[in-house]
Amino acid sequence: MLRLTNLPGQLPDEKIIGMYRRHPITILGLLLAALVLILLPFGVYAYIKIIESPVLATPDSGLLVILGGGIFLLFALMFVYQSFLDYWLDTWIVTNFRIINIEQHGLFSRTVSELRLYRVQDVTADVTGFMHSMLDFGQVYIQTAGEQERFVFEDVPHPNKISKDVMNLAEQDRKAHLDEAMEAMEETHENLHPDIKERAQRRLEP
Amino acid sequence: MIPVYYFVIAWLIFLGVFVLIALVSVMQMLRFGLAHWLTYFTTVAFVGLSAIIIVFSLYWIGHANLLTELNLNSIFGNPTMTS
Repeated sequence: MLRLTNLPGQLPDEKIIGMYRRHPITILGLLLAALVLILLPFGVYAYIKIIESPVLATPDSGLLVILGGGIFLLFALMFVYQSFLDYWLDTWIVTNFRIINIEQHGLFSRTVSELRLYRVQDVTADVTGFMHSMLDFGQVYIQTAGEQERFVFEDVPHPNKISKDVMNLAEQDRKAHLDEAMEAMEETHENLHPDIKERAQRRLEP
Repeated sequence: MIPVYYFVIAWLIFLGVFVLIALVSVMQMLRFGLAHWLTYFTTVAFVGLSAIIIVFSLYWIGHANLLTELNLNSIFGNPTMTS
């Protein structure tokens, strides 16, 4: 079990600054659908009672309804539990040294990645859409040095605040790890297009 | 005419599949979930509700005559029973 007091690969003096998940509203639709699924067998049972169908006339034919309804309820319950599991196990943890991205895809696929804060180059908060603006949740894109892929915090609450916090933490960590940060910058520079590199070089020349 | 126990066997197979997937889901939740009251609460609720449904169904199975044969063609209109 994941304990915040004992993170995977915890560094000495590492403190948790924030732990983020998708906004709970993102699973509301799914939970409503699940609620309908769970209530459906009870609705069908009530309907059978109202129309006085002979399906429930004897215990043996009623058994079929109970067995069918029971198995339907069990799988509906599992659908709800797995939806919650998918939501609950997607976590982004920001510490004073790194960002840990834990993502669960289905039941058997799990990705845990991390990046050191001094490698962070650019942080973008994106809030798009009516619901996102009203409830203040959205994406936070974190661009790292020397890597094409971006780190994305998906549908997290208060993305602007998170992006500012991450930027400040990255600044502090860069000061503490100046050498590593310079190496990361050079790595990014090597990945640039030759034309851009040349133009940047020209600008630096006195 | 299909004996009731055929349906019980089919139900038991579905139950087996459910138990297998449920065990894996609970194991994943307890292995990777955050140590938090909501993790325990949802797991206990899931296991508890599932147990209630299974026990309720087993109670009905226990009180039914499994050798009864059902005529599925007429069950939704006028069930025909023979023991």
